[in-house]
Amino acid sequence: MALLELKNVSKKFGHYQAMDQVSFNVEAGHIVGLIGPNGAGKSTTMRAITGLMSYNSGDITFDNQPVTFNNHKALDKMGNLIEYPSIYPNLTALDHLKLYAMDTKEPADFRDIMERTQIDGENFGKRKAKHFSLGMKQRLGIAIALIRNPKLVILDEPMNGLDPQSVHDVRELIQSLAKQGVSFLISSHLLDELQRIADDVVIINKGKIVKATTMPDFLSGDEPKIVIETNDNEALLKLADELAWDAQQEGGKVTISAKDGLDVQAVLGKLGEVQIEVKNINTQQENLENHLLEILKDDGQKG
Amino acid sequence: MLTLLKQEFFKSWKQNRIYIWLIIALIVPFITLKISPSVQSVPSFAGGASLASLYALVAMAITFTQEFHFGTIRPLLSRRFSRGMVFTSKLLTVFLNYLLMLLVSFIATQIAQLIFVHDSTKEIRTQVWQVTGTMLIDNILNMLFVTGLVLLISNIVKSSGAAIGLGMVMLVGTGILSAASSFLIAMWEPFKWNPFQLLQVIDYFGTSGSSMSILDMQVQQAYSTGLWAIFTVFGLYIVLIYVIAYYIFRKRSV
Repeated sequence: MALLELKNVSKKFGHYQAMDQVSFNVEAGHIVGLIGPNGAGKSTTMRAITGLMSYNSGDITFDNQPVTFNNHKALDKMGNLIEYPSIYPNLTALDHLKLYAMDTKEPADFRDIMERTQIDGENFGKRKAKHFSLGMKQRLGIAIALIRNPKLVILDEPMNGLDPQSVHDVRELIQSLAKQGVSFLISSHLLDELQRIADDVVIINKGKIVKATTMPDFLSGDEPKIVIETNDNEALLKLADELAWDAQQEGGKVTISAKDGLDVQAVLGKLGEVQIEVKNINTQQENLENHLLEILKDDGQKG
Repeated sequence: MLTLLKQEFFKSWKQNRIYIWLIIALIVPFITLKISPSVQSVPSFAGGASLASLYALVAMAITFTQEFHFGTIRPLLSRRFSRGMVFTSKLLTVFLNYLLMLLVSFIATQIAQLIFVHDSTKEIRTQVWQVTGTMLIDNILNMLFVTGLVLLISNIVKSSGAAIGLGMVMLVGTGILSAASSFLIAMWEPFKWNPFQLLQVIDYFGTSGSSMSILDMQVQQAYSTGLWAIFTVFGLYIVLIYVIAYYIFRKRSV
């Protein structure tokens, strides 16, 4: 049985359908990316899972226990960082960890958490949170989400305000905890980051789940593309037709699917032979972003 | 509940600096009785009781609005505890800190009295103890009523500033409101049961000390019932205010 299960969860704000029959699972030890455009229902879904908001119908089960607005018993083993870090300005980082650790009999080791989230015990043990940068606050927010040794951590835009090194460190932290069996439900607009770490992906749009699958399945069938700008695109398309390349013109560029061993060198070689002048050439790897945009475009056309 | 209380005390100690209030509650009676060494100041803990009420008012105004302002309400409510438990723990923390301030100012007053007040007789001291008891009850009921209104307003307008402002007005303006309500009572007699009018009776009770029988007689004349009814109805008003405040808090979207 999945660690977290959402079954046909719906939520209306007046006439606005914020969640429409939302169903998906989070398995133990999996990192799940919850993605979608702004206003798609990501934060609403996360708020429903964390018991902050009531829902009109459906079921949310965490660790085999129901989670509702009035029933929070299951939330003992769930950590979260939703929207922005919740920080008391006059408390130090250590104070925050002590405060939230009171919730449980078996909190995580403070020093370990502070080291892993790059919260330096010597400095942040003394400095008040009001003096922290956004990145520091974000790291503290993540540390707070982890202090109760949760089975599931819900992170809404966890990379916000982090510098590249911190992004790398947080990514490693999430991956190492996932290996230890901790599950993550992460919403982020940094799709490259999600693509790197997520095992599963759930796409939500206009309150509906558009797709819920594994990341490899989602990205399967991807081929890199070669994007070329030449002095004679018509000639290039004619050549592509003769050589059975899968080519399409869009704007002033021609995109060729790099399949069956076709690469940039081979394309340049052929173009040289027919004396087509290349102005610009690059490769484009299919990625989560492209897939997401495609799916949202399809969904928009259906809707 | 114990965990929530521990956390609230941790926050009030570290975040809202309750110790500063306690130090002030300790010092004020000494200063008051040094400047004016009168036994009449003793029942009100030489200003300490008013200070404790002021603390309760400010603390109640910010206890919820601050959590919303910092965004800390989300981790607070997304735990195994119900909203009712979170609400209760916050109220208890304010009330317990208030009682702690009363205790500190009471002890300070007793010590300051020994040092600075020398002209009281045994008979006066007995009367002072009686008035101290009634004033304490008056102060507690006054505090519960005013902080209840502050809590209600802070939950409605989501602004600690507005709530504190209202509380200040309430602390100094209940007499004015009572006087104003007298006009309305003249127009419609049952209006005498409004909470501000009842609060005025309770204030009289606070200063009555041993002359309780006179007050009881006056209440009989005005309300055709005893003091107990005044306290009961006023208590119901207080309960009602807190129940409405909880209902609003429970419904609030986070």
